[in-house]
Amino acid sequence: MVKLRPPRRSGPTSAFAGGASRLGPLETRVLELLWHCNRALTVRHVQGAFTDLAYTTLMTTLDRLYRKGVLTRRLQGRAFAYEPCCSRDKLLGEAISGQVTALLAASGTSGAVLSTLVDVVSRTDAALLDELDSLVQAARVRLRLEDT
Amino acid sequence: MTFSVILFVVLAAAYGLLSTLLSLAVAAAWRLGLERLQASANELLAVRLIPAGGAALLTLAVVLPAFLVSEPAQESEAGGPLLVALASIALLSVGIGLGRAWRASWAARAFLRACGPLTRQSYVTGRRVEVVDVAEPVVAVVGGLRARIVASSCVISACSNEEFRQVVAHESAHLSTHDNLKLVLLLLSPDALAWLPAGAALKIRWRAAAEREADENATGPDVHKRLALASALIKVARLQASTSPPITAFSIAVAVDGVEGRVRGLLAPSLPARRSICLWGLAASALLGLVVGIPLYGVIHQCIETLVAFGR
Repeated sequence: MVKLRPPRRSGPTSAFAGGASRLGPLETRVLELLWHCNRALTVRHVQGAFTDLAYTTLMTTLDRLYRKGVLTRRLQGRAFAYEPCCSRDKLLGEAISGQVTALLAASGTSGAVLSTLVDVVSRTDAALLDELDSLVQAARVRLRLEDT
Repeated sequence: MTFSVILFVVLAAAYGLLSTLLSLAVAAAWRLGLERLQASANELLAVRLIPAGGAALLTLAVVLPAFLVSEPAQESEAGGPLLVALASIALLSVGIGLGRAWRASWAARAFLRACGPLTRQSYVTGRRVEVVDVAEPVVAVVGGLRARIVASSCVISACSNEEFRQVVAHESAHLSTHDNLKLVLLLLSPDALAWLPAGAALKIRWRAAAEREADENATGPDVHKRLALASALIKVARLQASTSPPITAFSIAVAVDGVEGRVRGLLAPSLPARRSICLWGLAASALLGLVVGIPLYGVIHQCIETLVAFGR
């Protein structure tokens, strides 16, 4: 079996980090199937689960996912067999992380419609957080004493 | 220019002139002492919206009738450069405001779309929370019209049940006061105040006040709830402090002061709700302005004529 090189240099997760929103509904369904089967599938195999769709539609969808860096493919006989680059959780977790980072960055300049519980805090604020935590703990102890 | 075109240009120019003057007035008032006053989130929002709202009100309720009453309907005339410049400023402000609000809404929608099929739903005190498995400690109300509460699983793990209940109560308070819609209004407001330091300061103060009020609405005077929320705030802030550098690169200098102020506020006894007189005052002033404007239609029309002919 010949393993083919992906068409782009960037890894699948970095390609995906732009957002899961870049995947269409059919692409997501096909990807879910590949994750579910947990092995490399050819277009013919995939068509078994999508009997209402044309062979060429699925071939295009799988090829598009491959070009987006989400799938890898290998020649199996005369057909390509496709499998996801990494696990569902890892891939999708990183996709949201990219969105979260962008959104939090945007929220700093009111560039997004969201209200975060706590704004972004720098690493140097640990001492202040310790102090605040001890104040909360002291108040809790006082309250417990009052209750008893 | 035909009558309908000149009417549109005059209205746009009047809006541009009035919103700029009102922006400068609000900025001056802010520097002269308004910033030192303790104000509620709604009061700050009202002050921020004075230039755009006031200019729109005066344009539609005073300038438009004054023009329609005094200007011969069949008359067509050319507008001067000042009129065109002011109209351009107004249209540019509206365009930029719309662009700002659209970009912000798009960023939120993109986030929700990305989270969409991946979230687990959890119900806390009857409120739906979308749980996402990401490293960043996100707890937020995301979206404008159909806002949703999104929380990362790491926050749920870090907080106790009671703490997370208070976190959800805090976010629910934002939902019930429609804070995200108000944020859209702030972003949308097409006026010169958006480019002035006073406008930025007003926005920051409004966000801080909205957070404090959401804390108060969530916990009320219940000391146990207040301590639970304070503890949750510290835990989330700690999680954020230990997240990856890309986020800290966008850190806001005042953010930790916000957490400190809120925690200290929650440790202090609950404050009784203050009656807001500012909003009634503003509404009364607006109505008074409209009534006073009626006998001045002739003068206003003269001003419009001067503006139209200026530099021609």
